[in-house]
Amino acid sequence: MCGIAGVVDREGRTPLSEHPVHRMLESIAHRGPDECRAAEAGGAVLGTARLALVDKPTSQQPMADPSGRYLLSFNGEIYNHRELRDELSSRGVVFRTSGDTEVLLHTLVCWGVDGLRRLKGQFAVAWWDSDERELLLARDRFGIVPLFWTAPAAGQLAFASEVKALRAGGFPTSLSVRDVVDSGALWGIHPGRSVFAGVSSVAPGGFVLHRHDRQTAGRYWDFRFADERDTSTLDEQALRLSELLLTAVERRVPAYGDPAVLLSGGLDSSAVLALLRGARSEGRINSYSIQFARAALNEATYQSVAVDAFQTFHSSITCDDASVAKTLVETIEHTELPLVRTAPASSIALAARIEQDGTRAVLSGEGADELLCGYDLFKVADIRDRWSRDPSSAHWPSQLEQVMGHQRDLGRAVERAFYEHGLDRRSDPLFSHLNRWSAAFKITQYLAPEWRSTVSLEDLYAEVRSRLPEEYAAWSAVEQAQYLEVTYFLATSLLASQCDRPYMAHSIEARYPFLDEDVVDFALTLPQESKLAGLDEKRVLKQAVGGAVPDPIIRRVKQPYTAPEGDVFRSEAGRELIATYLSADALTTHGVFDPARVAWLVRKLDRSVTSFHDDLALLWILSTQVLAQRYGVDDVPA
Amino acid sequence: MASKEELTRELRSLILDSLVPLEDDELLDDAPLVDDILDSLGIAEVAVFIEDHIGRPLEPEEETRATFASIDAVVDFIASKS
Repeated sequence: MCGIAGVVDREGRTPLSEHPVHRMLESIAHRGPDECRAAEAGGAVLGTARLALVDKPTSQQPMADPSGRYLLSFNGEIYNHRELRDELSSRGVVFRTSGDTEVLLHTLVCWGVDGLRRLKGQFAVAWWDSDERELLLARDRFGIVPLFWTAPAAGQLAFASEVKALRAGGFPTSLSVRDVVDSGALWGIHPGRSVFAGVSSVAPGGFVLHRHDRQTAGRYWDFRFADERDTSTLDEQALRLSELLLTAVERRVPAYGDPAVLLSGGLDSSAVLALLRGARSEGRINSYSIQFARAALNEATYQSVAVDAFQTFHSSITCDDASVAKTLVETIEHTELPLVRTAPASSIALAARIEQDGTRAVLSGEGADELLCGYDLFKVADIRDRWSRDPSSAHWPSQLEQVMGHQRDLGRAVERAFYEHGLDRRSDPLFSHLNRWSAAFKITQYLAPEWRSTVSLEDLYAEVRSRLPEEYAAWSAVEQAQYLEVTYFLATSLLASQCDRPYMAHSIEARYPFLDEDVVDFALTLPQESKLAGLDEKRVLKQAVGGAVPDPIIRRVKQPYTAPEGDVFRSEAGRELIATYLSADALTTHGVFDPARVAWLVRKLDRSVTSFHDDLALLWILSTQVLAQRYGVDDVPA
Repeated sequence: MASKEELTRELRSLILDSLVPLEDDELLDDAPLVDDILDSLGIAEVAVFIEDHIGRPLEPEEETRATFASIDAVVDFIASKS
């Protein structure tokens, strides 16, 4: 992975040696410590801070084609570069390097935007055609690799892997409170947006063409369930899935160094490890885990089961309330997003540990829960869907009780009252997420009055509904929930905040076999019952790796990966964060939050138990304050 | 047995002091508690409030949204069981 940045400026006269792109690259040097270079071609300056994982010696970036017409900055990996190289070679392309950068360059030269459909990998691309004076920005299907852009003046566009690079280049990047609210309520941002005013992101599976002062956004891939579903048996589907996953794992083994896996102790990361060990019976495999001092959150037992089964060289770190609090500000500065959970702070601590070993790439099990229905949310969506058609039945509430076992200490009233809410809104396309989002939207009660009056839950829903695809209405409640989870939670809270940013803060590239194009295309053909049947989640995956992953892991009750939340702020380091960022003075300075209401929340933290949503609000407010201090805040809309 | 007025005052005090950061005039007695105001922990706290006042645990069939619908609904429920 790398960091990329660049500026297209019709009026640009700044010599390359003094160009702001150097400051932009310097601000994201953590993404690419091997080499920092910039190049100019016909009004565009493109730059790359390169983390070299393929073809170290020769694939320098930015890379120009032999004619000098095209210039490419590229961040990520193209896993099918050998196949594309063969195809391009048969068309007469002569390659100078053995790496994927040159293959990508010629793929785009040969097929233009249509070439994006041919790519298998995780990438952010900036490709400049100096004859046409056209810039193409594009991202991989799921938005694993970030890419932001802004067009602050006519004829000018700047792009970068992280917003801090745009800021370093002198471009406006104040916080957009509306998007900050949406990110806290949805646990994600709308595709194509960011939480910074005037700054857009390239949507996952999308591209942006900048030409003659105009930007046109398009898509080359969409998350859509197949019209025709796979009708083979579960055994046959499992066999196919295991074959595809094995190829996906092998594609992601780095060219240099020992392979490494992020091991949570759950089914998904254990499956990745099992497939990797199956393919490399003798070689060294490293595994890395986060453990928590709080026993209820700790998955060390299952991590040990996997380490023993697959004979990995294992390293782990232990996080507690204080250690999470101590890394929180650094984490927020890297995520550039208000946080809704503290898990990214543990990720960044693990990344620091992995960096000590000189490891540059790690395989991760992320994506399986969204694709194969691992979360309780999908079970709840299914149960509530059935309950909505049979509201007097006692069966469905009792099913909910089983699913929500971890809330049992709060009493049945909670499940019943909370999940019955919205049962009469089954026709609403957001049915599966109405409860979560309406509960999370209560964070807005902490906004200052002038901001509070500018946001509404119905506006938020309308924005989400306006982006739903036509096919969405025909999908089941569970598959609608899958779409929303992929679009919001996976793209933002997981791939951006919990994975790319924390790991790239320490120059480590996370790779995701479950998000492999072939795996995903197959998963989208599976009927719902192959993924979720009653309370049995990820059926086809359990079947696929059942012989390889130890039984205790296959059979365990799925535990959501959760880091310490409210108690982080009860630690001494947490208290210091509150004193620094949530004081009346600090809150008044930025004007986003109501100091009296935030003080009420802090008093509640001091004297009693806080709820999940209290903790979420506290973290969201604090992280917004951290970002406001660094970036400033956009004006209240007139 | 507390009067309805006393119950209302006590419940409002619980909600405003411990459960939501609203001013007194922002909390209406007929506002939908479950939908708009309380989170899951808040509902659990109100359930405990009810059980303290009726002197027994809530029965499963009593743990419905209707019981917790609003401050008025909670007070009426307690009054009907006392």
